[in-house]
Amino acid sequence: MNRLLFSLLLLLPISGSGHGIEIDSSALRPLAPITVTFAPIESTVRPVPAPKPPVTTSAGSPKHAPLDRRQHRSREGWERIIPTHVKVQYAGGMGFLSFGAGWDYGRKCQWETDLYLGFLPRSKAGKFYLTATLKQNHIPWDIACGKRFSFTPFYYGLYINTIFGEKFWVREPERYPRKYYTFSTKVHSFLFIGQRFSLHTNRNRTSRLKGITFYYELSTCDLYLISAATNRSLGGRDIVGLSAGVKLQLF
Amino acid sequence: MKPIARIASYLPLLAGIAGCDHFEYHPYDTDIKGDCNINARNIARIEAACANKRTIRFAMISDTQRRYDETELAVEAINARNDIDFVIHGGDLTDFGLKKEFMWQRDILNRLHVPYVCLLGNHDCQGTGEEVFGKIFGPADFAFTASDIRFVCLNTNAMEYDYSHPVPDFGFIENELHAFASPAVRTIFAMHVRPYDFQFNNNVAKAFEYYVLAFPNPLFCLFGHDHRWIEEDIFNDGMIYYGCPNIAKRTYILYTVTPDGYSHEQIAF
Repeated sequence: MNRLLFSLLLLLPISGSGHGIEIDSSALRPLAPITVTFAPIESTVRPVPAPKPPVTTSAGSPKHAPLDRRQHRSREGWERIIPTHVKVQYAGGMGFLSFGAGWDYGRKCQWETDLYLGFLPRSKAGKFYLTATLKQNHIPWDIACGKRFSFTPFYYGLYINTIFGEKFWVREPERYPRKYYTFSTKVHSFLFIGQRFSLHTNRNRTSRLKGITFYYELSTCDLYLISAATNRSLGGRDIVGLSAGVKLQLF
Repeated sequence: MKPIARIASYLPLLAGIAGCDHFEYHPYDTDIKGDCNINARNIARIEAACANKRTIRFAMISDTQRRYDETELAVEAINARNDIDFVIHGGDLTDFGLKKEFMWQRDILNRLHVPYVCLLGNHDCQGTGEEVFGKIFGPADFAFTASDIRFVCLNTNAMEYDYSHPVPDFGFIENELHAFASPAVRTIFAMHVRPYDFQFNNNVAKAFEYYVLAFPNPLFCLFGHDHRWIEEDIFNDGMIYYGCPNIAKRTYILYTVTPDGYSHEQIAF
């Protein structure tokens, strides 16, 4: 089932409307420089220049739209502390479900920092646990597929997760001699790689929702890596876990 | 590069998924895939296979945490012979108490041709480890009868419970003592941590020994935790405690119990 889902995820952009297509330049135009567009933008050829033309991504030929059409223009002042997106993630070693908010930044929104609050239900961990996660993403490329879709072939990052509960500690309790246990059961760091598929919905300027991104990731954590690094009998399949999520772009 | 070619170049990423369809909620979740309740099932096998034997032979391995390669070698070495009735694992299957560590160890130990039982080690108690151990292997205190010998296997990792739970559980020990019945006429004890180790509840070390000696014909006690071969009369009362080397030493201990006595041998692999 999972395999099918993700195969479809990959195939969607391939079977989409193609690349380098002619773009109706009047279709999408940001209102003012302050707005952040997270959407396919118009081609670099502008028959009617806007009063303050937005910064466009570099493109080779004016006949072709740029492949990576992400664009980011900073919001000003205190507006910047408002999260640019919210996310929901399923699994990934950070909880059964995790709810997050985050900020994207960089010239092409290629950096994303998220904060999640997640939980483990009794059915999955014997007891209800809360978790918190700080996640850093780097999304080097994005491939536009038609006006409304884009595909991220590869992105990566790391996250640090903590679980709340008296069973878990960063350093062993005082009843033990120092360094009796030399690892943390409470805080774990993860590395991940993933792919994304985005639908851009900001045609309607009155809507708060600018886009929906579906993502999945393959991740592993520090203690698994230590185990695999010292044993030939443990391989990638043993230590890698799967996760999936949705990102809602607000700005 | 054409966009489609570019996408195609990332196909190997999906190939990785083809072999991995496991959503993991947390390294310490207790959502276990695969075989569970192993000790009870293997005890039934041991009791059935040894019921009519006069001499039994068992191997002890211990402290296999984060040594999957050596654990595999031990399984191969034990499988290579046909004179062993069962295997006792002295605890510390895991280093961090992670669910996956228990599952990795389980999957290796399940390749043993003979039945095995696992004791709870102090590392196995980290995080949700004890709950995972309980699901995969069973209760931390258990007992079984092989031939005419009662094996009493005990959780002695007192420090991990900080007095929130009786360790060792004298209630369990006393029940075993009262329920002691034929065909058992002799007793062997197995535990992860020996008396007077830092982990042990040393306030009751002598009381523990008192109970050990109260059992019918106690032969000897087995333990792990110290990562080396130990043969010691801890209480100077003639009861020998045998410490099993950790698996990194590439050694298992072979015990042969005959109607008249017993012998032990260190087997390197």
